[in-house]
Amino acid sequence: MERKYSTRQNRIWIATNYLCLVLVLTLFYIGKSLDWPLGISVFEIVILTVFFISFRRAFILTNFWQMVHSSKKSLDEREMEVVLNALKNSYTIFTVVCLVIIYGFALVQKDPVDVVIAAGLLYLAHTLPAAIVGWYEKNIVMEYE
Amino acid sequence: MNEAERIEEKFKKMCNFYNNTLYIYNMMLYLDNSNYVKETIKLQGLQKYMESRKLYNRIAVLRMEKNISRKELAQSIGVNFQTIGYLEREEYNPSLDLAFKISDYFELPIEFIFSTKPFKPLSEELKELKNNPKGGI
Repeated sequence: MERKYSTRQNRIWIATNYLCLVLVLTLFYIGKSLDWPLGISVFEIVILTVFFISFRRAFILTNFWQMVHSSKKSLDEREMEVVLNALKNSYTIFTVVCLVIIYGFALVQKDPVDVVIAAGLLYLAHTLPAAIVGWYEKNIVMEYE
Repeated sequence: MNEAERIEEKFKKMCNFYNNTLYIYNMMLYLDNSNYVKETIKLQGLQKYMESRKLYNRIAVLRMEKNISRKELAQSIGVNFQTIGYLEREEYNPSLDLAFKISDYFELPIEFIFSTKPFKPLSEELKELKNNPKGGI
């Protein structure tokens, strides 16, 4: 079964996904410092759920995740151009985000970047190309099994 | 007509023959044994030429005539069906290879399917054909 989605709808899902990522990380540190009160724990679980749902809608069902991780042979010429542009732009964005985080931590003399933030950056690195493709592609068709 | 004018005319004819907007010249003219004149005639349309031009096409019309979907056409020529959508909306210029594949599929010359100028409406072309049966589209 297939359903068509507009670019605007997909942009909302992508923005939701990244907003949830930031919220999950922020809530993790808040919860950790306050020893995990019930409200924050529940909120964290809700945000995580929305995070996974938005990830599936924005990247998996639209096939953008598969597109940017495919070999060149399985892409047509237009898709290759789109993926190459997305990889180029995502490299720039990811570098800037990494530098901001590293220098931000260094400036406030906090502990070094830990595993949780590293996991967030890893997620960003893997999904940014698909997010960029999804941000600009038109007439998106979602494939439901 | 002096040497510079003669060479300029020759270049213009070449460019008209190849039907492009580019005529850039940077010519070294040896007028005599001891002198040469560097003639830079004109950079007109060079920048425009270097940018990718919009290509117009009749893919949507031809597809509808054959009564096939974008998916069927995409499978026949080996691209994703969304690429067909981009082609039909003229938001993507195909490579030469893809243009030839489309041309082979529809069994029409490339210039009948793609153009750098907007195609006239079919009704207008049919009227022209009617008024001038010996001429082509």
